[in-house]
Amino acid sequence: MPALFALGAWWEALNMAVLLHLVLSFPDGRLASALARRLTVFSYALVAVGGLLRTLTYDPARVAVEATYLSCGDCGPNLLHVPALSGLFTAVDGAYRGVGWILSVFLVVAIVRRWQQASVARRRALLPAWIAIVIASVFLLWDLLTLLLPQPPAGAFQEVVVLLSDVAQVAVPVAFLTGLLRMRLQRAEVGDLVIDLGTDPDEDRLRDVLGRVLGDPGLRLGLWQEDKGEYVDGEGEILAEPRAETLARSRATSTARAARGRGRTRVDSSRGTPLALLHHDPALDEDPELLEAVGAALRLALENVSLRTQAKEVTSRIVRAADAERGRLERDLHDGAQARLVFALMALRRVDKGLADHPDASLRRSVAEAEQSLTLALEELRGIAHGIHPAVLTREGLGPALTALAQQAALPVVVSAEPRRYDPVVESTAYFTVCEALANAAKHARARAVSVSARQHGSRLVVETVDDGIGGADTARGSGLRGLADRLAAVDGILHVDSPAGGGTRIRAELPCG
Amino acid sequence: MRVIVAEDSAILRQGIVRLLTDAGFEVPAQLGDAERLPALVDALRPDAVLLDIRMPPTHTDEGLLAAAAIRARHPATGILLLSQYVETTDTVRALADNPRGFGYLLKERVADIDELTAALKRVAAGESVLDPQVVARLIDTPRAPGPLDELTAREREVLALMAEGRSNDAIARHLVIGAKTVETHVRNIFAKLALETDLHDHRRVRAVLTYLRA
Repeated sequence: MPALFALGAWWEALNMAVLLHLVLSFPDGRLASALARRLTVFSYALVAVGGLLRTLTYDPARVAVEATYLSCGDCGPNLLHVPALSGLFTAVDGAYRGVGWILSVFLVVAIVRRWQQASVARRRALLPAWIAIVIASVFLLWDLLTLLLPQPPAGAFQEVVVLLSDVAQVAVPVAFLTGLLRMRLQRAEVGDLVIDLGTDPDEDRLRDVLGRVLGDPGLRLGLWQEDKGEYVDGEGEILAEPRAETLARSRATSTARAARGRGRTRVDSSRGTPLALLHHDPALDEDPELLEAVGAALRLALENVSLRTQAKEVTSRIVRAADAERGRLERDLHDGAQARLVFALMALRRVDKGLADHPDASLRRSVAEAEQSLTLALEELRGIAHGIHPAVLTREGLGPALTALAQQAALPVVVSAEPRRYDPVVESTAYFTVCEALANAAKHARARAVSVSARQHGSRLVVETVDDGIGGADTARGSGLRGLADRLAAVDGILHVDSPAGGGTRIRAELPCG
Repeated sequence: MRVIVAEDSAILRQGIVRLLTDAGFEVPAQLGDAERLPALVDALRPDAVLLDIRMPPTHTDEGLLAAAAIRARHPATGILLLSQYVETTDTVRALADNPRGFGYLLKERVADIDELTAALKRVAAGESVLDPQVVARLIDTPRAPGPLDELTAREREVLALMAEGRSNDAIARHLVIGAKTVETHVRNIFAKLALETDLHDHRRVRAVLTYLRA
């Protein structure tokens, strides 16, 4: 016990050093300036050395009222006490405390300066901590004043003050913890940002949500315009980029790719290309983590939008290119192979005529066989070319093409289509949708009749194929329907398949048209 | 007989021209596109024009447009369209609406010089010609049960030949039956389909095609 008591007497003021360290390194755990580092080291050293010196001179039995913290007449004995030094106690204790008070003043100055420099968002988050520090400081000042008074106050009042002072000091770390928690929560709010922005945020919404999370109603958001090579905001104004020399890459930016200047935060894509620029309250520079988190959320949202747009463009381009290629292939077959086959047939007929009186009947039979073969080849070629791309679709449009399709179908098909022309890709997509639906009705659905309709609803072409078959068609299983859904998606269309078992099949395709 | 040939495949065009001249036709002009065709018809006044539906520059309906232009100015000039597809839509409608001196054949029919010359002579004479395969598709189109199902096999044959634009005599020759028998079949068909009976020539073709397209 005496050893423990001695240790307690030595490190009695350690809490003050820890508090100072905490305040100066708040909230990111780093001591930003050399002054802060020196103050911290000095305060720990003071507790270690000064505390030891005082303990060496401290005799609990002798010292009574004057040392507030050490007034413990029944305690002890103090193991570290050197009786020869007992006389020095008052001087050592006074010096120790005096230096402590000077440190406290430095601390208060540091706190006030940090408060002045803090951003709105950070002040808000750290308010409990600041309040706790101020209260604790007031109690400490009171303590100091009582020490300087010639007649220190005593009695119940002073005891309550001392108790409250202790409580205030204990409250400081708790308040700091609350502040840290609030800051974390603020960053967590950035996570909500992603939800708030939704899947397809427009620029105004982006700006509003970012402004709210950053606590900066004057926030300006400029999006990178590739063609202009500038950041342009919602009002069409150009936002100035941060100057190169003020660009600072912070600790985490090598991965987060957000470069900052004063009051400016640039957000680049994950590939390093420019995405957006924020003009914000310069005070927010104080909170790089928050800016980085917001930047990351913004990048996520913008890249998502851009990737979706790109994917849509690419698939639509692929479909268009494939369509054009089919058309070209079909024309090549028509202009090349078919013409040559017809010409060959022509020549063969002439030979046949010339052989009319020929004595060798087998020769004439060979010519007849060749003729037959050529005719079949022509027919097959016609089928292939038509399957690749029906000429009637290009020439006369969806309605006539669907009518022609109905005439070739294996079962009765009633077509009702508006006599309108649409974009070639829309027409061919609608046409192949009906082809697949008819094939499905004939092959799998055991339908007796089918009705096909194509009409425009607003800005969408709705193509519907309804049969009276057994139903049970499923986009997930049939590769044909699966392919249809993909192709429709590529041109921003939607495929609905309604096919209850025993209840027929309704295949509905919606395509954007003008 | 004078025929202008418009076909974008040079090899095929030359083959057709040779066949026609061999068969005693005169070909005052041949060309690979449809643009200059109406002007040439104005200048040369042929008995008939043989033309491909698809020609440069877009390879879609240049031939159809040229045919419409020629018919508007020279109704007496026969038009024989060549198509590589069995298309029964707008072409058939155009035919059905005004089949006089108008014909539509699949491209490979040009290889049969007898069929080609017969078709050209018919359109030049104001008759109609519709490719048998197109007619077959019209008749075979799946449809709900109706009067067509009541026709006998022979009556269906006669109906098809009527749709192709053939006269009673031609039908009798084709089927190797008597003219009286053909008349009986025609009467029965018209009664079963509830069509007017005293129609002749292209008016009969129009009625039949209109019925089949409905």
